[in-house]
Amino acid sequence: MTAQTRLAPPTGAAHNPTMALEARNLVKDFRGFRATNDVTLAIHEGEIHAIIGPNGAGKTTLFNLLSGFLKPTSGEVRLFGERIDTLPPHRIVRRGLSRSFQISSVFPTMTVRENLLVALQSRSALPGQFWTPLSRLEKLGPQADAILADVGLADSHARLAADLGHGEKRQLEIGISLTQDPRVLLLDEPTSGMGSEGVARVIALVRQVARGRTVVLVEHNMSVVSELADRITVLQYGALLASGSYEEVRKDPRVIEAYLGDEADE
Amino acid sequence: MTAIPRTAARNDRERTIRAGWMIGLGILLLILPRLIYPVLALDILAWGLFAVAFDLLFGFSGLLSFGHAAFWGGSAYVTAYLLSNGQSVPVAMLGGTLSALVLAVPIAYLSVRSAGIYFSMITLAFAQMVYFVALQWTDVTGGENGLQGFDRPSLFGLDFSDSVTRYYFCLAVFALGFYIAYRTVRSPFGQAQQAVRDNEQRAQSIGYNPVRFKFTAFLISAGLAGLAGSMYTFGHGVVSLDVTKWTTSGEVVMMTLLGGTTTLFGPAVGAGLVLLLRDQLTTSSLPVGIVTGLVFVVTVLFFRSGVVGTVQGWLRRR
Repeated sequence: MTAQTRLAPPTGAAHNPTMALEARNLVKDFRGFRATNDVTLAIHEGEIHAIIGPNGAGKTTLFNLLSGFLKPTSGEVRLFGERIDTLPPHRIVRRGLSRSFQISSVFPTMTVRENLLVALQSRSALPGQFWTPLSRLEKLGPQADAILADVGLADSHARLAADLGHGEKRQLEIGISLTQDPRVLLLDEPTSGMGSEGVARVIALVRQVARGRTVVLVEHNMSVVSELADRITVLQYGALLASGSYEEVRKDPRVIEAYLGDEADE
Repeated sequence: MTAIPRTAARNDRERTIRAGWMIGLGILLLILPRLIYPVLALDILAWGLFAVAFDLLFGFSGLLSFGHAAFWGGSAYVTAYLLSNGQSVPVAMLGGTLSALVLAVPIAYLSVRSAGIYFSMITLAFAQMVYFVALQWTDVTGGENGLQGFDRPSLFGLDFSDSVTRYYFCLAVFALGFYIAYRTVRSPFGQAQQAVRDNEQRAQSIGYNPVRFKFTAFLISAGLAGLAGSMYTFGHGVVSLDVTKWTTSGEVVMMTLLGGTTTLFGPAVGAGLVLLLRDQLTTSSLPVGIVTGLVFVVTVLFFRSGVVGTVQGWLRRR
């Protein structure tokens, strides 16, 4: 029995309450090109789940489908049992799913601290108020400072986000996602373009933020995956190839052929 | 990394620079009718507020409207129409401003879902519709002749037939409009608006609906442009078809870029410079269009952040 069949949700069964995020028969077509091909996937509550696959396997497309930035051609996405695939991204965030982006996505004209404040205030009534002075945002200051400390940017709080180094932007990016206090956090290649020191810092950071949360990450760096992930899903040509623990997936002959080949030969 | 840290001391400095500008420009505006003839000073106030309003959308939401003449001109006509029907000055100006707001609702609704050139084209198309309405609905707008000869009844003993009195009345209106723009930009709303401008996807992923912030910014911008348009009618005592022409939409873009976008009062400075330059040139033998065009080209090529933006850059580096 392969890992995939074992983990597939029982057909016809009602929603399983221990599932944080589920994709069911998810399909996305772009003008005749099938970027996501019938993906059925279940992310358990509280786990760190890595999505891996060769370039062009549809990892980012799947991420965009899960977070509402793309609408599926067919199939559905459920967050704690409730369908979210019909909602726009800004509503999905409110339901408890927050994401980061592959290319560092921050607000360059604002300081590091302002980046977090503007993200924190979105959950308050403040953004609708164009007559409220900016100083009112200070009541969110302690929360912002706590997140700054968590992601290791406390000393850089007054710098412009545009002036940050690559690694620091990645840290800020995760910090922005944390402001939404998500139950499910989607991280798109959090270590991309980082040196080994930065990678180690991100691993520690992800481990820390995963406490009490479900984390899904797309990652190319296999050492990061093996160190962090409780379970792994492998995609190829938009379809799900295998799903299971690192060791299970590593031994799967199809995975070895498609992706881990070189590493398994060593 | 040669990153320049923006420290608290820097923020203090920013505040000092900003306060310096405000006080300097405030004094200049107070004595302006003594320096130049009052009708030109009135023009500077009206166009200045228009440019500030335009930049609320252009600078702070990243949306280049090429149809702001619709709100400026629409309000100018409504104000003139109300004045010629015996309404008082505040009622006429308020009516003009409200008409710009009402006009902005469908235009904003249909345009803010687009970005870049499409947004500009949609706003231009609507402004052209307003222009043709103004041209053809001659009973109300006077067509090519425009509206003139309407009263500006005195208010609380203020005699509006005196241009200096009109100037100081408009200065108060300008201050109000500018204050609204200032509060908007420096509010939680303004922060969210700029977050959407900076990075729409990121803004969405932290729970902001981009359309909502662009729509609201559009309405505030159009309303203030309308207020400016009503000031223009009040200041001049005539309305011509030009107020709704596409060249008016283009002119406000030029003034804003010349003065410096996202500097809040930069666009007003730009408007003042353009109008003063034009005034000087009309009495000389130089071709007005070519010289203002050249100034614009030089600014855009060498002083990207506009006059105010460039000066602020110097002040910060010192």
